[in-house]
Amino acid sequence: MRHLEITVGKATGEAEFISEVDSKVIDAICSVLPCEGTLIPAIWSGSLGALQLPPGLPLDELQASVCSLYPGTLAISPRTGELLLSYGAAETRTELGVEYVCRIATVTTGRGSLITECATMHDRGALGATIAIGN
Amino acid sequence: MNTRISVQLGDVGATLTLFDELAPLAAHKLLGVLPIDAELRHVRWSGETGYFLLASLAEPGAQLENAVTFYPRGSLIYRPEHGEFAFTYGQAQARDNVKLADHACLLGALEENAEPFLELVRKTRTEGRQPLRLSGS
Repeated sequence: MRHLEITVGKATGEAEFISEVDSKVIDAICSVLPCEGTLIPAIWSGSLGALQLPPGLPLDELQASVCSLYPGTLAISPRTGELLLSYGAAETRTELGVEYVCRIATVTTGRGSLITECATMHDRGALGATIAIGN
Repeated sequence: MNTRISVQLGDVGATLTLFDELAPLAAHKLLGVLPIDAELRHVRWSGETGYFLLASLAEPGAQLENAVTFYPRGSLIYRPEHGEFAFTYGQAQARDNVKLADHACLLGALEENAEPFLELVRKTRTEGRQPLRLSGS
């Protein structure tokens, strides 16, 4: 079963796709990975980091059904094409109000260290991040 | 007459006018604890704003003077429930994890050298916290 390998700063972990995600969507996500970039802290949404994914995702096919993201949850914003990683209290919002996103995966390995590392963004600013398909 | 104080963020200095007449209690409280050394971090809920906390000025339930919900660019905002002070460089609103629209005290405005100061506030999002000092001018 495919899973995601996540690196944020010095922390690493793995995430499993949730069962509600359509296999075609998983295929599309996997087709744009690996992705290396910068995890930028949210300014409206609480303890949430955003990593811009490469173009190519069928964003209009994503089911944007959640806005509250528990720590260790991965989601994709259909509006921005960003991968979102929550590390504390988080609700996806913009300057206009609540915005719904598509939940895709849950961190299953290395959750504590990833959350701790992400939380340092409050002091350190944005962090380097990589997301890839696991073996 | 409004009081002017000096603010230093990282290596950028600016002057700030406190709205003594519109927010006399809050201005008096802030002036009473100067000079202040703190760290400015970027907010997570309220938009394009950097904040610092002064636990000694946290007063849940305190009277809210000169109340606003949207923060004007270049303003100093005070949220007494948290002892939180914020400098706004863009679009921002009093929010937290529970409330999408709250209110805060519009306490002052940057004057001299505001733009370089606000640019450094903006950078705290990607570059992290900055040392901050407020003192009498």
